[in-house]
Amino acid sequence: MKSPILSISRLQVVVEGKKVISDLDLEVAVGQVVAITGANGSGKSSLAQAIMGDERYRVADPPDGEASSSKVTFEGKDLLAMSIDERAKAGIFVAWQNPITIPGVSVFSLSKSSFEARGYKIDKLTEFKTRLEEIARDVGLSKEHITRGVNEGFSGGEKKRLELLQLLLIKPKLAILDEIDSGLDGDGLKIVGKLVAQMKLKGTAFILITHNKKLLEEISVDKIFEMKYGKLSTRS
Amino acid sequence: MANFQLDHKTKTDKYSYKAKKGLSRKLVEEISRQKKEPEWMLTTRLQALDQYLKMPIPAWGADLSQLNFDDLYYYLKPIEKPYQTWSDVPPAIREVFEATGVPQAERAMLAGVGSQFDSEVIYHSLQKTLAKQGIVFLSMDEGLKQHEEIVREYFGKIVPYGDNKLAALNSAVWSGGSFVYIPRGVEVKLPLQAYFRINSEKAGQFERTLIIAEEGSSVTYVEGCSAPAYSSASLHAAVVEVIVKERARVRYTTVQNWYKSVYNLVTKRAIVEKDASMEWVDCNLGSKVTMKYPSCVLRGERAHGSMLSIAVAASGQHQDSGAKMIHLAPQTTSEIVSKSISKGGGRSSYRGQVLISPQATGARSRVVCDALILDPESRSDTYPDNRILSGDATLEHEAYVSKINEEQMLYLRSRGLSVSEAASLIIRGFLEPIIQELPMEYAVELNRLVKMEMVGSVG
Repeated sequence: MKSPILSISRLQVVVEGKKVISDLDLEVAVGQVVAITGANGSGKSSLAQAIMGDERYRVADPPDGEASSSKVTFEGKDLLAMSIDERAKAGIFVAWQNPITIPGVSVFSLSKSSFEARGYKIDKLTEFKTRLEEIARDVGLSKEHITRGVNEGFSGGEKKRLELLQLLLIKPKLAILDEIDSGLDGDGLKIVGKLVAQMKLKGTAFILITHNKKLLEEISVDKIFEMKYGKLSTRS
Repeated sequence: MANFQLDHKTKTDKYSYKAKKGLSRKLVEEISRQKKEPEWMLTTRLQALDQYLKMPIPAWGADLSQLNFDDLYYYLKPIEKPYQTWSDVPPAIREVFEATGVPQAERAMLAGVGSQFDSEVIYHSLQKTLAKQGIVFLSMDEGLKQHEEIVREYFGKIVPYGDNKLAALNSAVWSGGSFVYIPRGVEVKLPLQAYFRINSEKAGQFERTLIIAEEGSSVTYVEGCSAPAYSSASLHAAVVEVIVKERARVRYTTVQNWYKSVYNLVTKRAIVEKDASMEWVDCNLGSKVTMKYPSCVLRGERAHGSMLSIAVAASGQHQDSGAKMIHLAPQTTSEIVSKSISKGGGRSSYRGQVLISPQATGARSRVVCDALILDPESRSDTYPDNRILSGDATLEHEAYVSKINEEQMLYLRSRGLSVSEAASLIIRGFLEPIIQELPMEYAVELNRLVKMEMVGSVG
């Protein structure tokens, strides 16, 4: 196996005092596509949130006097010491299961802000706009979506396509797609398949979280895990 | 580009006339004498002064107890007469306006510019082609000289001096402001802009503006305000009167960024005739205290009035603003959209009145108040006064008070934005419906000011 980009060992996560991940180990290599399946409530999305850095998903406190067993590194760096935006800047992208609506903030200004936040420079705004329109077309959105408020009046499928647009724009090192297939039709699933295959070749690693086998038919996956009660087991 | 930053401070003590502190009958007479006004104006001023002395300081709204009316200069005259080219303006004054970007903006996108420095308008211009169409854009003082009959017909008719104590004060000591006359059927494509600067410490600025839009005409008037940083209080008490005749359309846009020691107590009112439309767009970022409730008296059938406002109240600021829509005729419509942000212990209040009279059958009005409170120390209040006296009129009133949405913050941060970048984007989105109504360069400037104001205010 190539060197791991993400390495998780004995991770314990609590949310509102309840343990949702216990003793989880996972390694993902550069350009590797890993799928995590499992029933609702098994802890799949909690894992995505914990890697993303949502402060509500805290690493469990160790028993008195002991060091925490939880360890997560991203490209060798201690991920748990980084804030949510630092993790994003380091190269982690999470496509949200339920993307948020932000009235008045256009897709264009969100895209511009997140693009620049990662240290990319925009020389000409018109070129950036053209590029955004091309990506929008690739993921099945129109030019008009770019001028609208983020997810304002978007259908479920359009919201997911907007997550794909941002993924393609940002080109992260690690992408976690949380239930990207829910709300997407057959065409949408094909787009995801194509995009994962392309980006994988350029070195992006993926964690696909799904309970829908259909998605896995569209995508060639290197490894599949099943999650149960906050723990992972290899399926194939 | 307009730049209303406050750090540019020019000490100009070279006033052509500087009155002693405080208000007196003698001072009012002196102002009128220096302006060589007709007798009726002096009479009006003196009547207004008597009225002012009789009226109590408003006990409602914001706290005015720290404002010492005796410790102000009521008349500061920098020069004798407004200039028509910037190169003639004395360098110390010109420098102030160059820092604000007014001359540059004029070249780029304005039909005419007026600039007031303390009590007097120091510069005035109007594109020649517009002057040929009969459009008049002058300082109020010049307006009175050149078009006395028109001024006499309308002055104090929309906002009489007895309206409130500050209007009485303005009527007694008014100086500067704009006189705008748009002839019948003339549409002015580019905005007319006025820029107001209080430059001296403890100064009172009492400009008086009168806009007359004849039948079927249209005009956009934009005003910007700023003042340098002084610790002692200054007072800005303007009166604006607008007449919008049949089928005419007037939009009056204000971006107010007074320094946080200025009391901004302004009376603005429009009379709106049949099928005419009056729009106020009002952005209050600066000042210590603002009390301002632009009004539309919807006098003709199907007249329309609207008010779109933004208020940002930071530490030590109280923005008490709102609107009044008075429906006096059938099928009249009005809309008030008020957005406020309170932070760092600042306080914003919406105070508004919608009155639908018995004659205003089929009238419709919609009021939306949207308040964003960024921390527990800050405060927002809503004081609506809605009265419907007509059976078939409709009035909708919506009010929302919210904090910054945590999920939105999380979403943006997961895309790499820092806490303050995320908050400033959300705040911009919140204000966007109003900002998009501003002329481009004002929108850019407002975004910049809001961003500056928000640095370090969240997280």
